[in-house]
Amino acid sequence: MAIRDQGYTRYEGDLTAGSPTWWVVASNGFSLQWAYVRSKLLLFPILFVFLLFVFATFGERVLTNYFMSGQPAAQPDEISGFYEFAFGYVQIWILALYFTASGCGVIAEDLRFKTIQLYFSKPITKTDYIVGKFMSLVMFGGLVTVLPTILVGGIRMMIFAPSESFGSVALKVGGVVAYDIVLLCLFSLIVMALSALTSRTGYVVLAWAGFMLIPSLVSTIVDLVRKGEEWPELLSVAGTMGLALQSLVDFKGIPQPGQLAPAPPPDYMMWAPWLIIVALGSAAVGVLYWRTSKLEGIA
Amino acid sequence: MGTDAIIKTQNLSKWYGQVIALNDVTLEINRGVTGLLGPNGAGKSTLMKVLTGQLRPSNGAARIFGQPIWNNGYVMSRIALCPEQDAFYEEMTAFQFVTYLVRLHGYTVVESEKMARAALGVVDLLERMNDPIHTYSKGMRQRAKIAQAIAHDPDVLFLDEPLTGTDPVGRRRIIDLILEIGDRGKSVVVSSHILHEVESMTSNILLINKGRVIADGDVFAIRNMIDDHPHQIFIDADKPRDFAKLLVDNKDVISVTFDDDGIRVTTRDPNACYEYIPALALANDILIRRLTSPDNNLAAVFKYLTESGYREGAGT
Repeated sequence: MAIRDQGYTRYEGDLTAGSPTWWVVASNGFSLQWAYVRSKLLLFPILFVFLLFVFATFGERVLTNYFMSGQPAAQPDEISGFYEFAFGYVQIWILALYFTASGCGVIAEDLRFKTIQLYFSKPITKTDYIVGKFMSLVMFGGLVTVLPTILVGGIRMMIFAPSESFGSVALKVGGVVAYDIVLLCLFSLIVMALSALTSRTGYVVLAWAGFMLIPSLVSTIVDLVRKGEEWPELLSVAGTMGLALQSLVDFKGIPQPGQLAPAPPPDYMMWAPWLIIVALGSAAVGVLYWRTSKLEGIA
Repeated sequence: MGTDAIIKTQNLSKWYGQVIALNDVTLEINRGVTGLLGPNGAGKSTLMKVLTGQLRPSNGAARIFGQPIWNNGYVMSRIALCPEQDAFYEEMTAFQFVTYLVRLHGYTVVESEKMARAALGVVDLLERMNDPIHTYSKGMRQRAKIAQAIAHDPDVLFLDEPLTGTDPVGRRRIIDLILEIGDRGKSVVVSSHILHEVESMTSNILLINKGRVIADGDVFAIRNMIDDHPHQIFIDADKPRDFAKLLVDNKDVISVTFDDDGIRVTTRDPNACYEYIPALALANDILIRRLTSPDNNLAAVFKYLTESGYREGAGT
């Protein structure tokens, strides 16, 4: 039997002609997650939620114009940050849901379907692999966080452009973008760490859902018991991220019934959320390091 | 052993906790096709994993092109692995899959696509290359795996059970491809349980059992080295009883038995036997229709070396 000429030309140069290896892994990982039908379907209700925020901006502007007509223009400090806080807080659960639907198999499926061994015999480093997988999640999660923030925030800034509140709005939108990056990095690291622990994507989904829901439930119960105290929010990831968001968008909170202005938070509430975020991120990095050092062969 | 050995290991050992999977293995693999044989649990897979950089040796050294394998990007860029198990991103097409894996070697998208197309052509998957892998038959999946392994034209190719699930035509084609790659001066290490398939690809084998290489080299040479094991010769002659009588008088002959279609001679010195059998037949006017050695096939060697616990004369 004749074998056709393979026409191969062996590459002799440095391995720098193509894209960086981590980028190849990242773009492929993103494509794989995007290839799931559920990833595309889920985007519709998520985009609808963000559309509501666009309408809310219009509504806010119309109401502001109505109440402020004949009065001096709104001052920058009149933008409370509630809108940005609500927008960012919703993103916590949207991102959690999106990762539950499609991101949890990021490493687990490489383990399950043995594709991880194909990386073994390739000239890539562990760092390339991990950074590539991390970036794939960041890009994927960016579809429901950074991208909508830029779009909705851009529209909001355009609407507020004629007013003196524009600077304040722009700062708060910038704060949400910064928060999105923190949120994306943290959630991506945690999902990756969980995904590296097992070859069963279902277990990762359960662990991730548990990680998000159980502390939130505990936090809610403790909050109900210790009425008026803010520290129970630190018990949950969502609460912690919410507190970090508050500081980034300069949202003072909602006044308690009978109060004109919200009570100033205790000092520790300014740094404790960030400390928890750093601790959680470090723990995830630690788990990833430990696990990948066990995965011999990702040389 | 040739001096141009591509793969070398020196006192290589690998433990999994208390279990020793490879035990002080020293070997050399040259260019061409080499069959890696051994029963289940022999250490074949562990050896393959060490040689493809998947496992770090517990002790000893493993080198390809004179360089250590573990964590060596240069070595990794010149080798390829076709794993035994399915290892795919099922949603991808074969073309996307192969292109992606070639890109990991540092090629540009355009180069990678060109190489992927060429490799898929070699394994006859061009027509279906744009279909998702989950729609492929077992044989097609096997060919896609081989395509990803050969696409970047590796100098050393490791194939773990490459013929699994292939139809006879596909099997023949893959065997021819392996032979052709070997003929081009590449090193091809083929692991298989199916001995006659390995025989059709090479007579150069590496027998491994209980974590040790018990024989390597040409299968016929190995057979000759097993001089403490009686060797069988089958003779189809027109006067079997007369010929048997003549043969039993020789000192090296242990026994002569009659089969339906001939006689089976068991000897301690097959070389001497091959010399005097034709002479005896000629002198006594006996017609020999067939003279074969059932022991000179891989299955027999495999059986002797693995089942009898043979430890001398070959191997590490």
